[in-house]
Amino acid sequence: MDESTKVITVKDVYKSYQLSKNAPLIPVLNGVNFEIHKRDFAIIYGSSGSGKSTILHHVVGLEVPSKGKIFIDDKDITVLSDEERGILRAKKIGMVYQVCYWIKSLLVWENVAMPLLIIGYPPKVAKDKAFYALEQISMEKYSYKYPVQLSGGEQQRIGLARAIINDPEIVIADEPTGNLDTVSAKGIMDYLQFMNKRQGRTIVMVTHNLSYLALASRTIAMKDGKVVSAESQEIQNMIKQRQI
Amino acid sequence: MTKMRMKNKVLFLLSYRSLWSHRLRAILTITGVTIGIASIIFLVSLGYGLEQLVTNQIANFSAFTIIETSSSNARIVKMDQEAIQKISEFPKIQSVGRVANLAGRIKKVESDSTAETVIIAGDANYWKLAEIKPDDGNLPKEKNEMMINKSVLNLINENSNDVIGKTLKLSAIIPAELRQGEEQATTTVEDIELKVSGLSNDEQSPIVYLDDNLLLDNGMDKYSSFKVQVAEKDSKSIAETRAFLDNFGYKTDYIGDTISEINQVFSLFRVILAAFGLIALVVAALGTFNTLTISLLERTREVGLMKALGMRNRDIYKLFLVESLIIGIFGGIIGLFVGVILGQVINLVVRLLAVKSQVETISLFSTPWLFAVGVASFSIIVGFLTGLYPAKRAVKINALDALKYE
Ligand SMILES: Nc1ncnc2c1ncn2[C@@H]1O[C@H](COP(=O)(O)OP(=O)(O)O)[C@@H](O)[C@H]1O
Ligand SMILES: [Mg+2]
Repeated sequence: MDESTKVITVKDVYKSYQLSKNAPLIPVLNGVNFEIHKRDFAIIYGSSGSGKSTILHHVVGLEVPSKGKIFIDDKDITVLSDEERGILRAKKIGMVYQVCYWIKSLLVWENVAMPLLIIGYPPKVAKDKAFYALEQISMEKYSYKYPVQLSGGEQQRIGLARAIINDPEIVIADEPTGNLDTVSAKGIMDYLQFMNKRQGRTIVMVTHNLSYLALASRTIAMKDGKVVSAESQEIQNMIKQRQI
Repeated sequence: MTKMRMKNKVLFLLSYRSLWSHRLRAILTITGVTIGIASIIFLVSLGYGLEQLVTNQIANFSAFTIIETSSSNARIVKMDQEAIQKISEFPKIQSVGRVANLAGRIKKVESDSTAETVIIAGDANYWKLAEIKPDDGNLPKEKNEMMINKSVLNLINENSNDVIGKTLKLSAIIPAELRQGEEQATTTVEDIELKVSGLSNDEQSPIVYLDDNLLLDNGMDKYSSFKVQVAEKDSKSIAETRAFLDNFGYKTDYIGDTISEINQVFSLFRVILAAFGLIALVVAALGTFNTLTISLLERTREVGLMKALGMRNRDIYKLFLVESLIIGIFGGIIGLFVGVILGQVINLVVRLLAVKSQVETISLFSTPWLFAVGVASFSIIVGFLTGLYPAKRAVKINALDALKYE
């Protein structure tokens, strides 16, 4: 297996927002460059507001850059339509957020099965897969509950099950442990590592917890909408001041 | 990897779950549509029922089998014995009642003071078809008999108790139109002595009823009009008979012409009733719209999630449309049943009351099934239209905006 295949390539990405019609442009990403290879466990870190979430949104295709290119498996996703990016996302990328979002009227297993149903799986097959995924993380006992009845840690685990139900190559996690106690957080990190090491998925994670950096095969430090060197003065200062 | 589209069954279940997760709201909204549809069905069924009631009542008249036949030009289109002969041969015609209307004078045998009167000279068929009956005594059966009405009695100062059997003197003025031949002049038959065979209580203008043969013997050759009775009162027989008579040059009048005017009045009435029901439905549609909009606002984040998970726009569009269709379908079908059953229950109550008080039973409500199905479909269409805008707005939701939690 070619371990050094590029899975994600972010090339010179700029993004600025305009809050209203005649308002000045707010630059958020100012020429971001990085590459993530197959089976990487990549961690993006940096101070709050440095553009970490924004670049992840670009990678999953929920945003398009003002300038620059983003490739997933050598395919330029910036030229695709919204719907094509949606399909790509449904098939290749699993996502986890700091806060889990659910379809409140659906049961846990139905929420987990949702990504499969969206791409047209028959409900029976989707159900079997969802139950299997829930068993894998020992959450099957919650299958017939509603997600909001569960704790934050439990929800996050189920969120991970949903993220990989489609067997995606890439899992994107934006501060998945941000709201969790240390025990729950460890569970999530173990599971992400399991996905990476055992299941061979490429993980891209944003975190504030710098102790996780040791787990990463690749780290990307961000500041003011740019990737900066980990040795840079600013990052070192921040680490010292525990600002990250 | 599958390249399949989201299953419609799944979309339906999603919509259904989302509706049902706000049970009370869903029930109230569907109830609104139900009331709207039920009131349209109920009111318009009342309209149909009343129309049927009225037309059935009228259709039961024997008048419904009768075509009034007259001539607009008595000289050219004659109404004489020969004409009656020809008309009677037409197979659809059962009988022909003949009548001549003319003027005359009447007086007591012993007195000189006369009174002006109308003379109606007809045959037995005519009396039957025109429903002319004596209140006392008999219709004139012989040439020397006549029936008179109360007004005549008053004019000649006779007493109603002993007038039957008495003899009175009648002069009849036979106008040229009722006469044939070269002379074509009005002739007066003076002072024929006739026995009063019957009395009619009507108190309009003075009328003397005669047997037509009397005047036929005295210089009358033609009649004023015929009452033509058809054997069957189906519209085909009526139309054929009228065409037959029209061919002769006669002028025909038929009470059914009035019925179609009544029908027009009733269809206007139905439209008015439907308009009232429609108001209820419009209110219900606004309610549905409101529910869908609230549901959309509540689920902005869910829509964002579904988009983030890769759900296609057309599927999101369908999701909201199906929700409003469910409201329309349920409301329509339940409303249909409620409306029909309500009308039938009232019918039943009226029928029971009628049986109890031993009067004729009637149905106030009648629902043509085509109309019922039409209204139910209308509800579904309204549901569909109401869903269009919220569905469009759902598609426009930006996944990222929806998912931002700060
Ligand atoms: N849609 C947007 N419109 C305007 N500003 C935005 C938008 N999205 C993000 N930003 C701004 O971009 C900056 C970076 O945001 P974000 O990527 O969420 O930072 P991080 O995740 O690193 O904390 C913030 O200052 C944020 O306010
Ligand atoms: Mg962030």
